[in-house]
Amino acid sequence: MSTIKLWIDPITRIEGHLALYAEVDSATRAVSNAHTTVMMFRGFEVFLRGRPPEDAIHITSRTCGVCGAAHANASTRACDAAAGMTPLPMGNVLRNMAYAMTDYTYDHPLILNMLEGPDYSEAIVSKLTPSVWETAKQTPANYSSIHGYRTIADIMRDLNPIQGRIWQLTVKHQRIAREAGVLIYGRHSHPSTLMPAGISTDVTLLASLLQEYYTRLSLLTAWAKFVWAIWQDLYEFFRDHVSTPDGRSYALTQGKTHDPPVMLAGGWSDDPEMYSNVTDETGGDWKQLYALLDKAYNARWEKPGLAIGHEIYSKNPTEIQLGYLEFADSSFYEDWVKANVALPYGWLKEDPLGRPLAYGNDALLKYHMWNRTTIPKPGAINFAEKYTWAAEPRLMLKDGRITPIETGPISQLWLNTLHATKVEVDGHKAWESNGSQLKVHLPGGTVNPDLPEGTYGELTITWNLPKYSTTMERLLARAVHLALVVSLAWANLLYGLRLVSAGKVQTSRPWSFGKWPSFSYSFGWWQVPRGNCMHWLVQQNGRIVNYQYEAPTTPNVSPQNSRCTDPWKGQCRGPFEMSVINSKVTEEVPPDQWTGLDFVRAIRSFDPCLACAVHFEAKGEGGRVYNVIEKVIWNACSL
Amino acid sequence: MERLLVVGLGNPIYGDDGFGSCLAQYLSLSNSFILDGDAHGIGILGNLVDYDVLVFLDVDVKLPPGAVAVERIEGSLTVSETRLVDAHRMPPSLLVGYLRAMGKNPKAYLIAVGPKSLEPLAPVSREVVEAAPLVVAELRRKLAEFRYELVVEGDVKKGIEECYKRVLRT
Repeated sequence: MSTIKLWIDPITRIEGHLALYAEVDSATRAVSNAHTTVMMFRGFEVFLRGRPPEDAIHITSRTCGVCGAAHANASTRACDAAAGMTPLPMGNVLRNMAYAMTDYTYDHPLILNMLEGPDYSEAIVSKLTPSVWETAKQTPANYSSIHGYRTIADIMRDLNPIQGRIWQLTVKHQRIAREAGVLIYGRHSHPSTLMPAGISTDVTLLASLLQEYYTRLSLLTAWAKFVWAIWQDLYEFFRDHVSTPDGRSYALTQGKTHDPPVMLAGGWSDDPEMYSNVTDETGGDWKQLYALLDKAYNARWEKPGLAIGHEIYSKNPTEIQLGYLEFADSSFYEDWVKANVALPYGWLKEDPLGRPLAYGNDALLKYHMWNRTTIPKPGAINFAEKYTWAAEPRLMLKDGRITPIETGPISQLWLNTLHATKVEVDGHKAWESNGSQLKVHLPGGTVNPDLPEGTYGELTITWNLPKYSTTMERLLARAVHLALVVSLAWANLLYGLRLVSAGKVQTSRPWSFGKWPSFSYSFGWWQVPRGNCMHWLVQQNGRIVNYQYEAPTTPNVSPQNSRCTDPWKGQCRGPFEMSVINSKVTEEVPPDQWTGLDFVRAIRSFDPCLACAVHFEAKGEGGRVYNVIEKVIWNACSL
Repeated sequence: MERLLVVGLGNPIYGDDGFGSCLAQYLSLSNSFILDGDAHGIGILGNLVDYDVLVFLDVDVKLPPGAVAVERIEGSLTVSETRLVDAHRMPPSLLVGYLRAMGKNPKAYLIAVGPKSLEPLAPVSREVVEAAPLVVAELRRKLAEFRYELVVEGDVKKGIEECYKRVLRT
């Protein structure tokens, strides 16, 4: 037996720059230690101070060139709440319709088929795990009637990057999804139309806009069925036919995170009437609006909350966020509490409703996001002390326990299922759940000439609540969630058409530049493709005093610290690191040739977004493409 | 008739780099087969997959400032060569390389102008603006080879300068 030390730096096919260090026992193939490290500092929180809050919508969007709309939307909800004003119903419908396309329908297939897909392609599977490839060739696909592939190997062959049919179809369909979103947002990936209390989309030709959207949504509905069927088949193959070295099901064990899981979701797709009515009820008073936020969030067409295992701890974001803390024990930041650096308004002790932050724990409330100060403290990587730019979010519960946090499509489906509810609009049943199972309904009549006819008919997808979050469960959840989002896009479109018929086409409330309370503070949560995107805002007289935000990846990529209580005391690290620790090497090549395939599969299944200016791979354009000059014309002006 | 798309590439925040984007933006107002590809980089790939002929408008740093060239994009990439240095900066040759690695084989051309300055927030140079009518003339000639007619309304040079004004807020 010997210990193999694997440094994977950078992990490619993710957004941003992440490195992984893992120690593996070559005999048991088990991981004894793992750390992930993020090699960058962004500092958005620092330069947001002093700016108008509405600017944060557009500045935080620039955090990422893929999921800018994720931050723009979370920021918009934080601004709505701090301004005390929400959009009119048509504004909510347009916000939802746009987001369903960019980011979800654009992003989920791209992540599955282009970034994660290569790990399950013939190119990788046949090279690193030849016995799995042989099994795949013998295993018939269960969902051939939808996607048209005869065997699992046929799917894997078309997942080959660049030349594979699935890869190429994804290139085409991500464009169609972005077009549908841009009809409303004006541009991708940074929406130009979002603003507090509304959306500035030109609705002069609204009927035509909805028709253009409908055309694309119909094509994309067939696409969602195709993508789901592929990943459902891959999931079932890895569940029933592929084992880990200790003989357990690959899909059910590999890349497992915490036990019990801690699942956080923000929900999205504001209910058009409810999210408008809360302003009518409160008359523009931000504190009164804050008191109705849980009602508004729970009316969303995907549901918010925190679950521990299969129990809902709370459905109410204002309650959960009381215990949302972030530490800097292992990350490259100065501990602002130990350095006693308070914000200009001092240490906030209560939420706008007078409930104590950190449930009255005076030492810990200073780590609440409204009290956080970003003070960078760069240093060398030391796994015993500080080793990453990713900070350490933890949730404090009412009983004083402190937990790590996981978020992603799996956490959203998890909460939707536990809510045991349904969403139905004008006869279109989008989804329903009963506490252990979720059903998603997709309409038929969706013809797409690029796809097999099996994708044209009605489809109901059933998702069973898993016991744990594993690599393959996370991938399957993303595919199911794609279908659910597309179904919600239909629901919003139908609602929009109803509003048009009733002549209710006004989108925004008369919020105007500089119209802010003298002091207000809020948060905005919005579930995005990678999990719950969370923004916290404190403003004074129309200027940001403190702005803190968490990308969904922030809790997922959290390093280790010792803040957690039982049963997570020995698991006090983010899901990325947990998923690697709970992976076994399945590569069928000698240990000195291990690539870390199972580890990168585990990490990519979260769809990490470490948004930065660091780019993918250091290989040039070179190759064998060259330009032949046909002619050059010398412009007199330049002579 | 072959399916043809004209794509302008570039970012007006980087001086003359934005020429192709601004020109395409202007010409697309009167020609349905012209697309402003902006600085979308690899993101534009999905817009190119269904065409037989691609004509790119861009700068070529190998040319002296203001010189105009018509270039043919030849060759292909293997799958292992289709990696990115930078998802945002995608020259036409690499986009075409991706398409050919995907098994597509469009005829591809670049009508380029030599930039003078690619400095952030620099205004578009006079040399590049003055070259715009020549680029348009060469584009018209290239399009005619494929039986496409270019419609140009108004003053192209003014159109480009206004595009920069919008972006740079000057």
